[in-house]
Amino acid sequence: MNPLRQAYRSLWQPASPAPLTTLRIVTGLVMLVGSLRFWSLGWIETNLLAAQLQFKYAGFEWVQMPEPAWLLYAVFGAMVLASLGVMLGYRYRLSAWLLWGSFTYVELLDLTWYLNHYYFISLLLLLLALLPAHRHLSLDVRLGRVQPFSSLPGWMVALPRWQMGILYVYAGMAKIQSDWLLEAMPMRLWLPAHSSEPLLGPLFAWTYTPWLFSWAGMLYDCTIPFWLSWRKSRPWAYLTVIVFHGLTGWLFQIGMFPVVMIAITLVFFDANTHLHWQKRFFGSWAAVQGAAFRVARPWVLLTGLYLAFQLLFPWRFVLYPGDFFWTEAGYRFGWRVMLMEKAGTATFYVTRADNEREGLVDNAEFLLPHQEKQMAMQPDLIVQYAHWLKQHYEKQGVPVAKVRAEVYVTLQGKPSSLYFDPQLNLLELNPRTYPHWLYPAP
Amino acid sequence: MQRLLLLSLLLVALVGCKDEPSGPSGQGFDRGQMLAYYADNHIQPAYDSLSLAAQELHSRLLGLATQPQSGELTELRAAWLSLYLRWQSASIYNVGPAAEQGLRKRLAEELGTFPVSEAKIEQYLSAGDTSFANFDRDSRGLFAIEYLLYKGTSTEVLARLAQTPVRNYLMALSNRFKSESQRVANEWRPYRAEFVGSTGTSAGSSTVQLYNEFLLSFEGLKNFKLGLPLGLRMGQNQAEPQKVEALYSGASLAGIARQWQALEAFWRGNGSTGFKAYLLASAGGNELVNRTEQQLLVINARLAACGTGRLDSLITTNPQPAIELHTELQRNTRFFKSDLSSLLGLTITYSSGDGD
Repeated sequence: MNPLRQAYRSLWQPASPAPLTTLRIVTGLVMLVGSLRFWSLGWIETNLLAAQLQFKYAGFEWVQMPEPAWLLYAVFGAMVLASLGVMLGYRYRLSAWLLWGSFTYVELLDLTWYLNHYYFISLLLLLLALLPAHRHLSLDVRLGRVQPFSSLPGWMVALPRWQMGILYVYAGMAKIQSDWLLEAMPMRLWLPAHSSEPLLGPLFAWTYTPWLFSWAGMLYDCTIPFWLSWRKSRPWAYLTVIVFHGLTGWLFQIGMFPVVMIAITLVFFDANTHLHWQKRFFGSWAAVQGAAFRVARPWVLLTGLYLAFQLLFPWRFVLYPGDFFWTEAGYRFGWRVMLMEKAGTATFYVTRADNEREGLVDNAEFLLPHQEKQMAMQPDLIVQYAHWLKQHYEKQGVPVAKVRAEVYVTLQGKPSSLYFDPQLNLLELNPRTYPHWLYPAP
Repeated sequence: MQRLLLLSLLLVALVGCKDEPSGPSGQGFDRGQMLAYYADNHIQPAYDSLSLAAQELHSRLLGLATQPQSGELTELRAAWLSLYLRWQSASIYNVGPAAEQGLRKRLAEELGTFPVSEAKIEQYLSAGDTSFANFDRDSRGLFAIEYLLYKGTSTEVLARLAQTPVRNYLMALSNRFKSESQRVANEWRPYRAEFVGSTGTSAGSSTVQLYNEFLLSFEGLKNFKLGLPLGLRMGQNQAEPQKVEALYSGASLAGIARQWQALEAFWRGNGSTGFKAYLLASAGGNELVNRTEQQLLVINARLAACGTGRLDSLITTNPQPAIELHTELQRNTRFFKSDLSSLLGLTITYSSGDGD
């Protein structure tokens, strides 16, 4: 039999649902903790409700803050309940779609809070909502609401692993460039800030530590899915997952994500390991029972299209000219994590249409510090803000003829330089098109 | 895993051998030492000096004759002016006991709000309300005291100072300023250990808090002490010279100069420590320090060009030097803000959040 055909057939081999069950439980748990944490830290208020404007994702301009604003708390309430539902496998389809919907809605509210990890969680929740992850060890089965399945087609169990594999390998490939490997940037800027940590502190002040971290990080990201897939190296690989994410979590302000990654990576373990632990925790309840699940062929086609999209979409940056870090065209949704230290200072000037008078905008009047920081270095956000300023002043009865900005951007700790012509009328630009108006990278 | 480690070590060794790299940013820089330096040489002395000047003003007011004479007024005004100048360096830190807490705002806002509302001051004064149990910060603080000591001719002021409600309100204002500056100076002493011990660089660490306050103070100088009265802010249709700080005494330019000196001294440090030394210890810091130094020279020249007269008159008659000063401060923003924070890995947001 030819190998391609063999590989295709193996995708259809019945596989135990156990790994998917663990994934469902830990994802629900992590989402539960994550949403409660977000709430209890007051971030619903300080990060979302306190903002006067929201920066939009291209194509998702229609996603608006809830009206009245307290409904956002209801959205988080739904997220908490849905996380519980997913974890317990109770009214699973409803819970899983609700969780995906509420989480994704919150992420789409304001682009300045974009994180690769949030995007990853959105994708994972979508996969979980589509997969039958509740047909084993769930309340739905226990209550007789659905029939249990003893096996699923192999590709269904493999799908979350592939998704994780893409994340890691793409994150690793993005690190194969001279800034990261030869200059050890931005590690060289970030690590020494930790030289006062106990125990490991002196290590961060050592000359070669940033290179060590850069190379180890690249090699880890590029290869870890393979080490996790190979039975012999798996326990060691998982140990490095814990060490790697533990270390980054300790060093950088990345909140919950180390825990998320450590928890979700469990899906790489084989079915027997999962069953072993599930039986420890849940006893006979964890026994696999029921019929084999069969799936309609069109789903396979859709899954293939989804994976193709995942593989191709991060490459769209090659279609754009110019320095990638400078323009950020095609930067998001590409698993580019920790690659650059970029910051800007943006001063906006608004010209009135009636008396031609130009006034200076105090960004702090309209933007959260985080929003200003993000806006000041991303071309599409700069244009969005300019358009918002026009709207804002015109609502107050001040006709606006022009909004211009003097923006200086620094990349990888290099001296800052002018981002574009400060005389350019930003109102004539579209935030959704390629920023051809930027000066070339210094 | 072993293979991985071995391979990475090998590669690091290879890269390392090629040429001597400039090393990590801020290599070996001692932030604890920097914080101790700021605490002992900038912050505590500024609060102590502020507290002393406030006591001086208050004791003069306590000894004020029932029918004060012009000599007494001159002395009172000198005491106020001294307090005003010391305020300029004391108001730029706002960390620890001077930070916002509960209903209490940052020290800078709590005692230094301007412009004050004459109507509100008169209203509280005539009502005999010295409780300050309201949110009208523009009815009290340093510039409410100034209003009562300077508004009108000397004869008018002296006549008012003989009135009991005016004296009562003035005493209450001064008393509040005195006790609040004393509180901050006293509480800062025991707070020092905690301040110096927080040597990290995450949101909420001493370095980041201090740096953010420095930035806020710099932007406040540019936006509110210059931009606002110059009418440069969007939404203003003309200059509003009546919105300068220290409008009644006419000491605005001296105050601006003093605050700028304090900010510059803060950035410079003492040569061996401080933000400048921190930058010089970082990869690429030399270049940024040079650029900043050049800009500081330009700012100082523009500041000198504004002279020592009244800022509101300058704005009305010949605003060009003040506009140019504002422009050069604006040009300096990136050196203090994005370039510095990026190079040192400091966050300019005030709370922590998730990150990639």
